[in-house]
Amino acid sequence: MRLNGKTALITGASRGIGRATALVLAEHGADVALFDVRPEVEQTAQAVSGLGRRSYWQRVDVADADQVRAGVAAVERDLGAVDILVNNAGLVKNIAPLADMSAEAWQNELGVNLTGPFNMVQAVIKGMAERGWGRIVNISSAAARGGLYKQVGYASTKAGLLGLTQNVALEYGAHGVTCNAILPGLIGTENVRAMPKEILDQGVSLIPTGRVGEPEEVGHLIAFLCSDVAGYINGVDILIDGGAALNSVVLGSRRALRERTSGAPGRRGG
Amino acid sequence: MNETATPSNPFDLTGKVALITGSSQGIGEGVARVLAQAGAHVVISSRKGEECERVAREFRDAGLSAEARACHIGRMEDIEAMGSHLGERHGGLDILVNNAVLSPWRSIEDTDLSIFTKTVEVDLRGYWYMSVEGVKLMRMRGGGSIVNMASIAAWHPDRMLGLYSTLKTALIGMSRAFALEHGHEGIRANTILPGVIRTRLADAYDDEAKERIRERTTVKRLGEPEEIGYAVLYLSAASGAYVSGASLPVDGGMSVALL
Repeated sequence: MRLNGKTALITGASRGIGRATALVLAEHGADVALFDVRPEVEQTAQAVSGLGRRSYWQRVDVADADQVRAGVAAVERDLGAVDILVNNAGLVKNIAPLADMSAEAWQNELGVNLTGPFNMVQAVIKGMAERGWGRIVNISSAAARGGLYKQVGYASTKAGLLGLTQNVALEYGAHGVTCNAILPGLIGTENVRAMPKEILDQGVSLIPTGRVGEPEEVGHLIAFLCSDVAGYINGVDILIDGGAALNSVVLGSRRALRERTSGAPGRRGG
Repeated sequence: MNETATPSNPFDLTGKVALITGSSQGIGEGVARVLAQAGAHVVISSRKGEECERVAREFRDAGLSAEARACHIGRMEDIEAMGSHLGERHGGLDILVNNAVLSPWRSIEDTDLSIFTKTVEVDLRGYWYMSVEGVKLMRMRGGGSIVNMASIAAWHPDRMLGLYSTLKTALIGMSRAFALEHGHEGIRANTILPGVIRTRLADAYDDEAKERIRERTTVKRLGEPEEIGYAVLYLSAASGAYVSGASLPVDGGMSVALL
């Protein structure tokens, strides 16, 4: 999937799926700009440069439209026009039953996980449409379908991202811009690997392919969707969960899998 | 787009064997070409043996690895013969693309029992039992990828294609059932939902209908067979190793432009 000559901009690029995607896109030939609130984003930029591609990084809070506009302008000065946008930045601020979720946490999650991608799209979409080519990929979550226990803000914003995806597809498809969403299940990011072993094992036991996904695998899907040959795919959402969603409501399978593995009560994977 | 064949390229299919049913023309032929260009040995298959030979010869002339093998997936004996052939000749199978199809143009009331039965034998029974053969063959090679070619009609049925649309919806369930039951063997199953693709079949639409279809997409054009091929390539190569039970529309955004 050749991305030579393209400039990609990835948010939440200091680690996890964002960092892995940056390296995958660079391997396919793209120059890569990286936004994150964490200073470690600089190390991702260095890794991209190490692959022989141009890179640019800046500490940007995507929830802040002014910071986003200034950041995108800086990317355009340094690397050139943005051809590919990957909205990956996202956070969970509060893990609590819905009744106890703080209004502040809700606003914070809404700001980063949904307003952030909206800000990013607004900052790049006109240019993409004028040039007649663009690719936007929104990293949603398997939680967009079926929710996530005690994470109402995260699940709601990830579902909201599907609406944003469809509207960008609808309004800008005719201008050569596609916009699609990815719904990752359990991916082996730093956060997931840090989960207590028994909880992680329970999650994995519900995944038909029998393992967590690698961040690079999400990167490959993004590389495909951002290539020229994926131009007829627009407005879709794609699960990348090793089949975990197939298991989530089938009690018989959950029981069978539990017996085949360790034994503790089942928990939804992804 | 030809990919360089390096082991590190996750979109490379060197050393893989792929069977594409209904590949002597149209979408199937386009899929086969993309998989062969990515390095796979492709088995060109349809009811029409001579047409399969022609396509396989064309592929070989272009430096690709291909063979022809006639198979009517509506006949159980043909499916079994294909399974035996692939087992003996290739020691199994890595990629199965179920694509051959019957699409009777009938109102629901005019779909009599003989049409119903004949269509189900190809569009559902054929996909199912070819997949069962596929599972056995993939097990021999330690895993594999099944891609069932549905249609965007699986989500948004067409008038005069009621039975076809119904069976396309069934394929989504079928892919998910196979993905669930055989995931632990390294076998994945996914569904692609093509929109209107530029094939001889689509040429049957008159210009006004084609214009209407173009307008209904977000990208304002019909799709190309190879664009379905690249989606199959993504799903079937190492690149798609964590995608199973998924439904992927390749429809130019037709299904978002509903209002």
